[in-house]
Amino acid sequence: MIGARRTPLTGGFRVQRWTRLSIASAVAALVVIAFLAVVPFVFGADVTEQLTALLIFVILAVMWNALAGYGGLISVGQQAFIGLGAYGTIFLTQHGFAPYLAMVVAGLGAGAVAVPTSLIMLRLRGGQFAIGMWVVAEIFGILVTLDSGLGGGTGVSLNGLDVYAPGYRQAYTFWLTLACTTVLLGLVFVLLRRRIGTSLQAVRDDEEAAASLGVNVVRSKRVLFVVAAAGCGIAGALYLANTLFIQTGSVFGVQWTAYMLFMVLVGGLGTFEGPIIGAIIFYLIQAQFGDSGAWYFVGLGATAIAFALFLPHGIWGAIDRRLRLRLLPVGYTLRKRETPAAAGTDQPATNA
Amino acid sequence: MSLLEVRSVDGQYGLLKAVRGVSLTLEEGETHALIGANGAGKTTLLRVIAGAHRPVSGSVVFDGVDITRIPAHKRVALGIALVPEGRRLFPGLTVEENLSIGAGRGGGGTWTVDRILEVFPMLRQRRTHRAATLSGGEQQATAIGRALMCNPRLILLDEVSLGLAPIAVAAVYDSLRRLIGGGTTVVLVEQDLGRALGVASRVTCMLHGEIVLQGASSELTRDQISAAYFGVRPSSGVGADP
Amino acid sequence: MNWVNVLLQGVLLGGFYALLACGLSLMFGVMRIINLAHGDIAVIGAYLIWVIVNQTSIPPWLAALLVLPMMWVGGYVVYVLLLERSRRAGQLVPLLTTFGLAIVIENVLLQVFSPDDHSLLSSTGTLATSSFSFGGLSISFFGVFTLGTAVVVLAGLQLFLSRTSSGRQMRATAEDPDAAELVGINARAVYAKATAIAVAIAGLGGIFLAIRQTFNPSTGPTQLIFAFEAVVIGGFGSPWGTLLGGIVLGVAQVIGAQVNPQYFVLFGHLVFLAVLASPRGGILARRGRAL
Repeated sequence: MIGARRTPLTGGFRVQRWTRLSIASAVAALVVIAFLAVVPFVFGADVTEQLTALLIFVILAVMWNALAGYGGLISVGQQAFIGLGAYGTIFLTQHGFAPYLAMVVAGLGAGAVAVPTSLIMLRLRGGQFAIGMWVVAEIFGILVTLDSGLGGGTGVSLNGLDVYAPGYRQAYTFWLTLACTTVLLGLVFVLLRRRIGTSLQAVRDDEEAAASLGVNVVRSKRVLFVVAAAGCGIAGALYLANTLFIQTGSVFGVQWTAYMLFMVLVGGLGTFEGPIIGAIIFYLIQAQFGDSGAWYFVGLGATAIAFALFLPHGIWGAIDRRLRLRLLPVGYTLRKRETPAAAGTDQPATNA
Repeated sequence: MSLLEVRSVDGQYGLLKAVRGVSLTLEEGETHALIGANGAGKTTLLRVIAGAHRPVSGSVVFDGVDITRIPAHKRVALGIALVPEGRRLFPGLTVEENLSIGAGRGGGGTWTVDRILEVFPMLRQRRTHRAATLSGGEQQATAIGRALMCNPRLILLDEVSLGLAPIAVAAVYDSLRRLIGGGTTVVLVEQDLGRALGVASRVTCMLHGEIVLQGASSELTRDQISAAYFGVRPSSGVGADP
Repeated sequence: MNWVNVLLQGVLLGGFYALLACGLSLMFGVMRIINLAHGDIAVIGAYLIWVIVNQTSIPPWLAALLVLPMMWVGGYVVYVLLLERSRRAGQLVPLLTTFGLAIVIENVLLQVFSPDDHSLLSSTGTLATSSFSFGGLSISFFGVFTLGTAVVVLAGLQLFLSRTSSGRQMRATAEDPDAAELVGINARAVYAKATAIAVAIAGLGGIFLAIRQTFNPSTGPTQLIFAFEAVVIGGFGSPWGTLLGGIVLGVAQVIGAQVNPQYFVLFGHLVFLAVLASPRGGILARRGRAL
């Protein structure tokens, strides 16, 4: 896939995916990952823990954006899968799984649960899907609460990680988080670049028209729904590994949706890079104002509203529109064939 | 003073220019046929006049008042009513409800549900039926009736015979003649040249968003109009009328 | 408690849910907007009446009459400041902004009133607790009053939509806003009015909430979910569908609680899912009209 793809088009245009800039930024992404990988050797456990939390936010934001920004599915209930991932990990470790293996399996399990869930939920549209997912999250939360083996509503600790010294445990958790982030973001990136990405955007823009052009609307949405569920499940499991204690009220709580909404709207709904930026901004804001109680949440909600109304493609969308940066292209760019006169008139044709 | 003046209006949808630099003047009481092939810009022009589409440039003056920036629902009160393409009835409302929804908005007029039923007798039996259950002709009659109930001084009719059986077209046109006789100013978009020329006093031909022929219907020959319709410009065509 | 009694309790509870659902259904019907802050708006109504009753000597019934116009005006404000722009920005934006509004409302209430439970129970005398016997059943007076109010509100809404000129305009705008503009209807004004009505009815639901149970700043989301479930179970249909949906939900919850007190909410959710999973539920949920 790497390397500029040049498909001849009539009218002096060519379709371009990778620009020199985007190749450079893909390399930069690899450098960042490599740099992050050595963080536990250089910094203390507290920095590692903070970065783990940040990467979990990145996963959540990218997953929510994949659903909302590309699938047109606003979910108020992704905490259903966050909770499943976390409690699935507890359940598996109680049944003999090694903790880190349990996290990955529980995350994938959340994705598996999403398959039957999608059969019902994807029949709903718009706001009905949004609240319907919320009900699903409530149901999962209640079911977990009813199981006394999982601590009921009072919470439960993750056992089995105490075989590692705290510093090592934090490092292992971080590496697993980094690996999961890389794999999940890579998966979403590849998914959106393939046919499904184009068809999903067609669906988001006009579902009926897309269906009439032969786009398999339901299948495309289902793939996205399951991937987003697995991603949220893994994020939930990693959240558990980072905090070691969970309660149904918090992991199945709707505040997760508030966080995801904020990160995605501020960073840039429907852009690949935006949610990552949104997660970093959210992380910094939380570090600064997280202790301010209710006003902090009032600020989050008001900011999200302001972005939705006045800057619908977020910070990244605004940067992208001005500078036409396409660091990690999931869409296509239509460019005039390079002639000296036309060199300055490059126009991005699709908004990825 | 003319009732309506459209001054060099440009209208577009996204990048598509549907109407380019169109100017048009209507006198009170005239019946004006707007003809042209599909995509000539007739519907867009009507929507600009009715306020359903905002032009990129140019202005619309109604009865001496510049209404370019006035929203559609307020233009109804001034006396402009559009019977939109595709009729656009409220399918869940009954015929009577569809009719009475715009009642008395234009002010000054005298249309009532009973008078509409006199003009369109076919609706009498259907008064309490939901609009979704009507035949094409009945729907068209209801749509025209709904516009009349706003007591317009200017009524814009977009493709009133489209999709109707010939007998229904005849019935709609019979009713139209009675309207025209009553002194309402009418702009009529019509594909059927014969029908249009049968009722119109003046004709405007559009092609690719521009006016290519204009004149009194009695003074234009069918050949001239056909040529304009298909884009074969006769040298004397444009501006044949002062 | 015998099963007839359980059924009766469920029906009475259903009246409360129908009242909550009414405004949600109206806004969806007219604007195709699902207001994710609907439950929190109802809770504002609860706090308003609580403040009036506790800070002044105004009796609860009069306070209720004051709350409704306040909520009505609030509805206009919500439309003008938030929904008008959201609506024009596309189908998904109202969901994002009303969810944002929900976060803001919940946390402002938290800041102002603390997370503690409040209730009007102590101020309403015997209204909320008294009951009468009928055929060996003990029937809550307030439950009957709630159900009766729901029926009156739903019937009133039905009459408003079908018999008044303003209601006809609302139905016309819901079906085709562009065509409505062409017959002289100011769609924006109609939407604002629909929002005002929906918010006022949500406030009424909040007043009943305040009398029947304790509430706190995070009570809203649950009310939204119950209201939504009632609307969906009723099939996004007529006002009477909403009443039926509320009653089915209430009965399911009360039966659940009979089986195991922890199953109260769960049974309602499961009936909701069952309706969604049925062929009818899916189709109605997609093609539904709320008017």
